[in-house]
Amino acid sequence: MTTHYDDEAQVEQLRAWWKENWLALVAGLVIGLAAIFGWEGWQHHKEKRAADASQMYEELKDALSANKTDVAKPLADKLTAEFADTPYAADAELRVAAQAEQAGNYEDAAKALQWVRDHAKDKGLQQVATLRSARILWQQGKLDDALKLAEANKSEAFAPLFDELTGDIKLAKGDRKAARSDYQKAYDATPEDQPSRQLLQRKLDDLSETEPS
Amino acid sequence: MLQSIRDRTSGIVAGFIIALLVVPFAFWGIQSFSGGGGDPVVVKVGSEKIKESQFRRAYEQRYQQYLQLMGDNFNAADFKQAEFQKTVLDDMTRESQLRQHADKLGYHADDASLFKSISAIPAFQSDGKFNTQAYRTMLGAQGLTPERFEAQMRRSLEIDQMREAITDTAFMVPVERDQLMQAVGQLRLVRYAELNVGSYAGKIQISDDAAKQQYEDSKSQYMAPERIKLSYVELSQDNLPTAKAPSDDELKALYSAEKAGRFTTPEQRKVSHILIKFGADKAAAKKKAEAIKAQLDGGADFVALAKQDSEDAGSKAKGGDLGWLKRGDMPESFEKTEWSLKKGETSDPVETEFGWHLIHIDDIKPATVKPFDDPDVKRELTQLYQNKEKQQHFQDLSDKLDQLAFENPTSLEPVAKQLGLKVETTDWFTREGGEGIAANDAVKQTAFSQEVLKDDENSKPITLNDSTLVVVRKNQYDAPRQRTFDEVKDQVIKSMQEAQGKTQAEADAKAMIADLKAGKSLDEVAKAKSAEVKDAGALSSNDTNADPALVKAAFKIPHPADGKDSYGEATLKDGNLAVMVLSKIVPAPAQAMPSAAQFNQLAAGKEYEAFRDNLADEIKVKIVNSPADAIPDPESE
Repeated sequence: MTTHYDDEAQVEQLRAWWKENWLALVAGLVIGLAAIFGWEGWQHHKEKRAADASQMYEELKDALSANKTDVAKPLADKLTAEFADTPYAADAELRVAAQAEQAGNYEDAAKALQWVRDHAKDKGLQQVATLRSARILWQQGKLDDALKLAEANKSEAFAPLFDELTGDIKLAKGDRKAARSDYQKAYDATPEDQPSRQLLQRKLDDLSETEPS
Repeated sequence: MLQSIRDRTSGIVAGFIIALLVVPFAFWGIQSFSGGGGDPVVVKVGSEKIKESQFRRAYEQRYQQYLQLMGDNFNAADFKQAEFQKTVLDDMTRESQLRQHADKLGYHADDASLFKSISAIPAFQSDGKFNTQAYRTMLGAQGLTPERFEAQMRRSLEIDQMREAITDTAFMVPVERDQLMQAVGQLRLVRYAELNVGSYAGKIQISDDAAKQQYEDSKSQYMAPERIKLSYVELSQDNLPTAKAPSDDELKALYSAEKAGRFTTPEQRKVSHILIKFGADKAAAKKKAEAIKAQLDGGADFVALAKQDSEDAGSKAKGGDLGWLKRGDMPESFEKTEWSLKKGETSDPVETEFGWHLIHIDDIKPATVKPFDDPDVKRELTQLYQNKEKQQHFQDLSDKLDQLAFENPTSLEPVAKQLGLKVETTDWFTREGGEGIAANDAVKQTAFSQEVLKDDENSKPITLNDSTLVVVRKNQYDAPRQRTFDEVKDQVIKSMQEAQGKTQAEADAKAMIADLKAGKSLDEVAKAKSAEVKDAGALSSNDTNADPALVKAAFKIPHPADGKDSYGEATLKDGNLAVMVLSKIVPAPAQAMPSAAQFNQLAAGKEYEAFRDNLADEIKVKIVNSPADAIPDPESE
């Protein structure tokens, strides 16, 4: 059914259309491609930064386990100063804190943990750091501060850990009844198959005289 | 038609749509769009989907590991498939959550760490060092490209980084460790008086009236289960009369049928050989064998040459002797020649996988056939004949039994009469089974089946073993019934004595504790109740030598106040009661104190667990298809 005439007319139409629209079409393509390559480039940039941070973090890890604080310190400082947007900064501070705690250097441990609480993007990690901060406060003899911190902000998953810690601190203060109530909360929230439940049971049993009878 | 397609496809809108479609294919290829199809999603974890095929693969892998781990201890009946599936799926879900979380936080392991972890894998090493060639070969064997493997490794490295940032850095502070140790490691000094509950029970008098009352009050405990007695006929091949002796003609027919298999000893050949192994040069070996053959043809002694030249360690010293051989004893090419030679002949070299053989036939025992007239043969044939007849007879009777039992469903008499059998009866038995045929599972089941129990019909023939059948029917049946008081009187009295004895002992224990609190000594109060005083010594909370119930109760006793004792009670393993005196709590000995690292590990485990639970709250999981549908039942395969 196609006639020569039809084709001629269509070619003419197409030409006219192209003349009118080529700019928009090309512009659209350029913008689209730029967006695709731009996104890829941004991803690549982010990965590259993370990889750099990862490498420093691994070096820091090795330095700490070899007890080379002089090597570790500048690495940790650089990570927190320039790579706070990567997870490696917070991880580095956790390692610094653990090292300080082991050395009995509780001030430094507290500082490193504070950094994690303030800057970590990960809520779970913030909880971990808060829990550890409370431990440090307890060790420093600041029992009330420790309790305040531990009782303030706990997510559901971390609640049993915080409750057990506050129970411990209350027991250390001599308030056996309050300790028992915290232990009981932790115990009730811990799944049966977890070994930590047995330890909680022991702690509860040891406070049996406070049991409401 | 074509014109109309053209008209439509030439519009601006159509052109735009095509352009839109072209772009993604240009970048991502077609496979991104063709996924799904016949592979349903099992579970959605955040933005990730776990497909059925992935789940199956993981399940299969874990199942094989489990089988290997359990070895002979694996018991299919105990294997809880649904639970196992759940574990696998939970692990996959958790891993997916961790991976997504690591991505979201922006973990990206660096190349140096990646290389370090890859080069530490022993499979990629040669002489203890990473070897690129070995790496590529190993991956190729697994069907993996280095790029893909490295991407996988990087991801798992990132998850490790995330995990270890928590587990490597967890700690318990010193005050915390000491306090925990005080609770967990303390020792408790405990003495106790044991009240023998059995002797309390023995002294209790129960009147018949009281027992009767107890019986009336708890009648339902004293039910007798339903029971049944069966009538049955048993058809056994062993009890059938021996068939009459066969005629000579019958025997002859049987003999010709059985001759080849039963009465013929096949031909045997005593064979020797000389073996020349191929060595490095097969042709040279053949030449050597041919040379030996030439010597033999020239009159040389086979035995002497075998001793001298054969390379078959097994037969060489015996002059090549392989002993008497039947068909099928040797490799095919050897055998072909072996069975074509005449006695005393030696073959040309014959090739087998062992080398070149010169085969010599020392002797031939022709096949022998025992003649029909041999009395042994006749006896065997007669027996064979009669067995066959008996089997046939049994088969016929079995068919008849089936038919008669079915045609006369209300009685066994006609069956017994026509087949010359006796109707017998069993003893009473319950669903648990009984003596004789009632011990058989199929009989037990049939006895309490609808057909036999309710419809009062003959059963179908039940096979007890290869040569025995029974047909059963109900003879008598007792529904579950109340046992009379007289039947169970002793039992009632005994359980009352035990219960009351225990109550008395418990009351005594209470009284003893009151006396102890009033200041009396344990020995004093124990003596008054003629209880035995025992010293448990210094108990630890994980003591394995002492009675576990005693230990558990001992550690629930309140702390003793200064200079005073503290008391508790326990029901021991054997049911006896213990009245405990806790005199002192001793702190954990210093040498029992675990290292700081052990405490830190304890904290690490809990913190990481909580960290993962936290993720579970953040990254939602949605089961789309239950895994039970994804894994076929192994028994239906």
